[in-house]
Amino acid sequence: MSPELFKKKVLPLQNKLFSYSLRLLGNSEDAKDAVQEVFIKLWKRRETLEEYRSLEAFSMRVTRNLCLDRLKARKPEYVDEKTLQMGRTSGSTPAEILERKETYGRIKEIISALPENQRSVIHLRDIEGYEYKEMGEILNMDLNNIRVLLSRARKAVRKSLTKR
Amino acid sequence: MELKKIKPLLVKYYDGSTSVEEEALLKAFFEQKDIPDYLKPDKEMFLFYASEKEEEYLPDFEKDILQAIEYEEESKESKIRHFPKYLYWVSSVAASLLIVLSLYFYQKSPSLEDTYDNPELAYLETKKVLYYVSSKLNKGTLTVDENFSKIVDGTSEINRFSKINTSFEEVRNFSDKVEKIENLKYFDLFHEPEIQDNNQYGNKRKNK
Repeated sequence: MSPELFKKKVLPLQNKLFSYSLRLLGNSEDAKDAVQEVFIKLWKRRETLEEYRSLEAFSMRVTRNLCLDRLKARKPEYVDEKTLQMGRTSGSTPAEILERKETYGRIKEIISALPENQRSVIHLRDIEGYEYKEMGEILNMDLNNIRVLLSRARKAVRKSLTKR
Repeated sequence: MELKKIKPLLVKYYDGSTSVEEEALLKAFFEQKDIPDYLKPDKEMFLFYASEKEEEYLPDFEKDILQAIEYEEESKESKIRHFPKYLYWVSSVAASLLIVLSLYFYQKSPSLEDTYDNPELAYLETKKVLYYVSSKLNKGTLTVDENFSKIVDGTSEINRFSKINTSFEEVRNFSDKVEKIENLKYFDLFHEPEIQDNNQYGNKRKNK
């Protein structure tokens, strides 16, 4: 793939990759950094990039794997701090939360509290609108598995929303 | 869209079996204004998903990405090239200078080829050289001779010990003479009576 084609076909994916990376990593600094590294990886492989069936799905997959690596590399204190914070806010009454925070902020929190694979399927399907086939390529999972995860994730979000 | 049709769709949705198109219908339904209260959480959710889909504008992000790629390319190049460009210049100039200088000195240096066409002349020349060497050698051994004679001088000094022998001779002559005088011990002059000596000793004891 020529540099021109790379700019035309791969670079426009930046927002989708960033959005997914942000969903997985939780803050935009880390997300931006990760996406930059993803682009470097893609650039290095640009000779073979055209061989992939879906360039977008492949790029999303690279993003996911890189973000998962970064999550693994994170210090456990970081996660603890985050979950502790969420515990504090969930201790408030639903009315208070509604007053204090925007509804969107709440839903964001709910989704970010989900396990990574559920978070991924929600992001890819309900936000980005990928077909199951593409999701299978990105997540390296079979379609049935994805459906089960998606059902579980959607119910979990709804349950959290009605609880408060 | 009617509520009646929405309910089974929602059930399908939570089961994870709606298609992308069906999900689009649900989103469109929840964007309406009058939604029953019991569906409010679902409304919030769908509106949230729709809002998240709107891509965030990231100022300068593309520039950052391109810069990161560029930087990567540069660092890759510098890994191949171990030193900066100007050192290539310096080293190439130095190398060519070395070649030119070595050629120059090579031509100037005396060649080791045979310079004599005439063997007789060569023989004479060789002989001359050997004479020269031998004369130098003699000069060298001459100083050895000098120093050696000094050693000989030193040892001649040691010969003076023979004089001790003559003095010993004199001592022996003297002792011979003394022996002869011993024989004359009966003469008063050399003889001290023993009894007188004992007496003296006894007196000393008494004094103590």
